[in-house]
Amino acid sequence: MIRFEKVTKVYEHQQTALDRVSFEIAAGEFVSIVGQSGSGKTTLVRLIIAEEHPSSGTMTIGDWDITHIKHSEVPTLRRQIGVVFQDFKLLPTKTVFENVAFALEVSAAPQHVIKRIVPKVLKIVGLEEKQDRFPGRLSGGEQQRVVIARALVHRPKIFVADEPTGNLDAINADEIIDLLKRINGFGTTVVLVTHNKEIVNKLRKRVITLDHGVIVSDQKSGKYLL
Amino acid sequence: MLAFFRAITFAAQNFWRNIWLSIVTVVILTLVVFFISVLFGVRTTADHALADVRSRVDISMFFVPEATEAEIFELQSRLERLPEVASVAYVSKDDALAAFREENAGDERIESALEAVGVNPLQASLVIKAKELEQYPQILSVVNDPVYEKLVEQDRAADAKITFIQDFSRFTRNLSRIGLWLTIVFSLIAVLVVFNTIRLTIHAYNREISIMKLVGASNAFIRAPFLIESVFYALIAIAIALGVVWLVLFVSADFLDRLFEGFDFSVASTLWSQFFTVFGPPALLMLLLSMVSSAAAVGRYLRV
Repeated sequence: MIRFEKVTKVYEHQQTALDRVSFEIAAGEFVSIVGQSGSGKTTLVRLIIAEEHPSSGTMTIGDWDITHIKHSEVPTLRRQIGVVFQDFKLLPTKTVFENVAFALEVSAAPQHVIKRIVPKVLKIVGLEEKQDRFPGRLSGGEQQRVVIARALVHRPKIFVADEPTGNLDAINADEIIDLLKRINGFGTTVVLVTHNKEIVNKLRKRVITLDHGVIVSDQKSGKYLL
Repeated sequence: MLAFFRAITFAAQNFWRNIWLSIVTVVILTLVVFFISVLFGVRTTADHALADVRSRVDISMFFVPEATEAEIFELQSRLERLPEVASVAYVSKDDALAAFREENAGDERIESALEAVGVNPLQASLVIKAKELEQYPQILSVVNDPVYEKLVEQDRAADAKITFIQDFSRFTRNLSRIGLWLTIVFSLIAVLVVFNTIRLTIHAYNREISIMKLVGASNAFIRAPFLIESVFYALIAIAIALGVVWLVLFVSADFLDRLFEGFDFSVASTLWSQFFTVFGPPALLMLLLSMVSSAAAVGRYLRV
């Protein structure tokens, strides 16, 4: 599903964020990518969603080589990948319903389809009662669930969560991880990027460990090593 | 079509849900439209006033008493054939005397002086109006022809008059040019103000634009609502500004006409009758400018 072959990313001033990173994630897998701050985890996420281009190496998602993806193709790629960020990234002047619906509107979904799908997805994340609220009136955990709903609404094959529990307390963090496990249960490939030891150890899923831009470990049912 | 209606909905949502930002933007644009409209209105009025003044300038060519009407008419015909001449009117000795008597009606001294003289002391003349003030020397050079020279009374002050007319013409043209340059300069300032206002407004949406990109929105999908929102700003600003201009004209019509008393046109009537010709261009400029500024400002964030 996702294949990185000797991917290197060097920023300005010769700053190497990733150094010949190679891995393969199969369809339906749940993989945690762990490492300390500055290990290259976020760079990896940015490469997957084509926010950055690699300095060398190749990246494939399914059969699509996205190494040198054209600017005009990036929106199409991003509609096929559900992404969740640490800082939520909700549109503040749109309600919960409108934020989730936006992900369908960008792909020109008809209004009756949006009215059918969005409530269902909000029910999955437990926010069906709060669809008319604005993000500013939601807790951190609720905002993150809206983001997950927005990411889910396309039924993406890949779900990337970049530090989704970074701004949440332990209880909310657990709820988010449970949601991610449910999403994985639907057959969606989940890539969880985190530096939270407890979450990784509790999951007992595959763990890829990054250190200074290099993969130091790739364990099928791993633990947080660093 | 669906995308277009969605863009309008998003634009309306953005406008309403960021109402204070929208109000500030509209206020600034309204002030700019009003200011430029006033500038255009003043320039139109000034141009009319100058044209009116220029049109009143004419030259009278007086004839010696021995000149016959046939000779005068021949000269008149010759002058009328000149492309520089707008009109040539013949004032006979009798017409001149009648006009003089009417102008000085009730003045017994003038009446008694005329009676004492016994004959009509006034001369026949041709009143010549040129199409352009600068063309008088050219027109009057016809009189240098020996055939006509003997008919026309030599006016020692003629050269001074011509010089004055030419200076006056230069003065009015320079005034008009200054008006034009002022309009251009202030319009450019208005362009900068509008561009920066819209840019700052779009900057407030900077983070939202990047979120939309991350969710998979295309550039066109992101740009369209902002373009439409800028049209909303412009149309509201234009409606308010031109409404105020119309009201000001309505309220101050009498005052403006008194200010330009003696001129052959009414300021208020002229501006009302040419309302869209005079005030349409600033409005259109505002509309175009808002859209271009919005497209440029959003484009900047879409490239990042």
